[in-house]
Amino acid sequence: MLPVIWQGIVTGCLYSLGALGLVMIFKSSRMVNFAHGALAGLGAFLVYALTAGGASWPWTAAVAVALAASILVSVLVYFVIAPLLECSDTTATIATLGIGMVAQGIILWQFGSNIFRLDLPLPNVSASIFGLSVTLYDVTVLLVTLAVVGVLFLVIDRTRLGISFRAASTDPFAGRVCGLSITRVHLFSWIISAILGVIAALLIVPTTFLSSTTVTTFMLQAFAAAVIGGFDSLPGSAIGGILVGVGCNLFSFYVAPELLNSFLLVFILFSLSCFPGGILSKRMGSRV
Amino acid sequence: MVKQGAWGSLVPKSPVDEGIAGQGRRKFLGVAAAVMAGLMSVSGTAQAENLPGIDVANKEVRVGAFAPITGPVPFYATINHAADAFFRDLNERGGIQGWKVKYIVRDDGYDPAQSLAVTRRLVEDDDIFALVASNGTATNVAVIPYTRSKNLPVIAPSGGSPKIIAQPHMFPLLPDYALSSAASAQYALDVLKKQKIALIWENDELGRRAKFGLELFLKSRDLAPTVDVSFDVATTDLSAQIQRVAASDAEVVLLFGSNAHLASALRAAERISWKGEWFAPFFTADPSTYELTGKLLDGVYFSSWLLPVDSDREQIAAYRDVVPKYYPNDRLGVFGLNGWSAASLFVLAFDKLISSGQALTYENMIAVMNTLDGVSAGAADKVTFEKGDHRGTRQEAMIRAENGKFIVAQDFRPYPEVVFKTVAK
Repeated sequence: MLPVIWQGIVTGCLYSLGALGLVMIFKSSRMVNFAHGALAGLGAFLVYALTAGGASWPWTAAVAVALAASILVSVLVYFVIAPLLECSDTTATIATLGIGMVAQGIILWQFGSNIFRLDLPLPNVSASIFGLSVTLYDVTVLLVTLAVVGVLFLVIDRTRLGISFRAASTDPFAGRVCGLSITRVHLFSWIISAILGVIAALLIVPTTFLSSTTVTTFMLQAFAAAVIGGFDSLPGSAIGGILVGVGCNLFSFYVAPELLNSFLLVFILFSLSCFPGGILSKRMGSRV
Repeated sequence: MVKQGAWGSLVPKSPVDEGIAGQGRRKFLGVAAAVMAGLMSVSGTAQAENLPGIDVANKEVRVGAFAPITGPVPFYATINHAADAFFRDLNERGGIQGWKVKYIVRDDGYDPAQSLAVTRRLVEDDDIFALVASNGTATNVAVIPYTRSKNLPVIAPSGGSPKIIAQPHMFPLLPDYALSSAASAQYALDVLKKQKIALIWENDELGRRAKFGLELFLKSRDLAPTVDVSFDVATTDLSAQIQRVAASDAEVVLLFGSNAHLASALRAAERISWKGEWFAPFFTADPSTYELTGKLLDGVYFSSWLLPVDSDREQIAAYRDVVPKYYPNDRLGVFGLNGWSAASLFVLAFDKLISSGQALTYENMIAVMNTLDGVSAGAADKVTFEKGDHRGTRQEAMIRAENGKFIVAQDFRPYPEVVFKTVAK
């Protein structure tokens, strides 16, 4: 059972990263970015094109370029979405579906529907710890997730922009009255979300390979993690990711892997029934 | 060339039309008779010229195929590219006893409903003599009623289903996957001396047939799979399935899915340090699989009706030489070899039909196909068809991946009899 839980934790870390990207945008602008997976996939494809796909750039340079490009794309997308966001959150959310399709179309146009291999530049090392096989990839995923989540929480907790983000997400109207630039806060969340997306995509493709659909499919599980976390709680979505990873692995191992999607839906329903505001929500009372 | 039937459909039939036409009917009939007599006098072989798909004057035979040029699996069209390259090369070298082959490929987007429309167009507008290497399993199953009603020969459709094998007008090379899984298990038991076999199977026709064949074969040896675990075709991570295999204490795993699934499973096994013998379906014995897996593929076995693409056989060397001339962007591999073998099978049978001196009709082509006995077609060996038994491929070789190449680990051997007989039923 221990290896199953371990693998679940490693996969769960990736779901957490994906979920954090979705929650960042939701917290700041009350909309769900359904293009998150496709845009992250676009970043991963850029890394592939610059490394294994032919250009043979150093890995770090390729990742830096992909991150810069993803930030640029996310800023552009935000400026396309912003006018719609003023109409309604739902309109903007639906528009992200279209943007996701465009991103997927660009991938298909440039790379076709083939499947590609994109490995992290890591030596193939593994060790047995208490009968558990632990690879360098597993450790990397854990460390990168911890580092990214740590930095993210520090930025949100300690920096001026982070405090603005918290203020605007708690009460946008009050934030605006106090002189906060909502556009700046929105851009901050879109850029952080893009960075989280590319990191998650680069960490997941060594196990799933890279195609026009793999990152989008992976983000569906991340979406479930965000829902379990309450969708507006960053710590909740991080824990939700681990719960989804471990839960899915245990279910696949002991029950039936082909029913995994059904399990995920039941898991979401159960979780929302028990914790309507997410797993970390405080019980709220109301006066009559 | 336009068939008489096509003209018939254009003649007005309504009473109004007949009334107008009635006034000049005698005149019309007279003119028609004169034209017909003129045509008959020009050529004494009017009967032969009306044969579907045959242009006697230019010594040309037209064949066609539907292929997923667009849609979810455009790389499957590599099959038809290779068949096309075969025909074009053949034409340049003089054709079949002077006969040239015109190959018409139309896009169906891998949509069975489109395949039917495309086939209808190929038969009624393009006027083809046969379908050659029509692409896909579900798509070929979709055209069965129509092609059967026309008695159209379907040569080497690239789909593996018992429904295709059961048709009197279809001559598949692809075997039922039940046979491949049984052949793999036989090799694991008798050659590798392993007893504990697990199965990971794609939850569709491909995987279901593999499961059926494996269970049937193991039952004949009083054995059963240690575990069988399925996955959905959209699944990209097979970690959970590999955990189940590892927990079952299996020594051998048969994986029936795509090359991406095989690659994902090999990765997952490496992550938990599970070691065992691997078997996969023939179409994954392709250089593209190596691109995904790297060295992890070394040692994997493939029960295959096709010889490997690296083989020294003359027909396979010709494939490696010719296809890049016409389709330089296509990867050389199993898909192309499949189309190459399909075209080769058609040419073999058409040559035999010409030599027999019989009329070049659908019926006679089907009759000739039913006489092929133990022939080599491209990369396939000992292909046999007889009336009522269209299991074209009756044996498979065992291929092993080694240092980036695919080598023959065991020559062609008949399928395990217990499964072969059951499939025939």
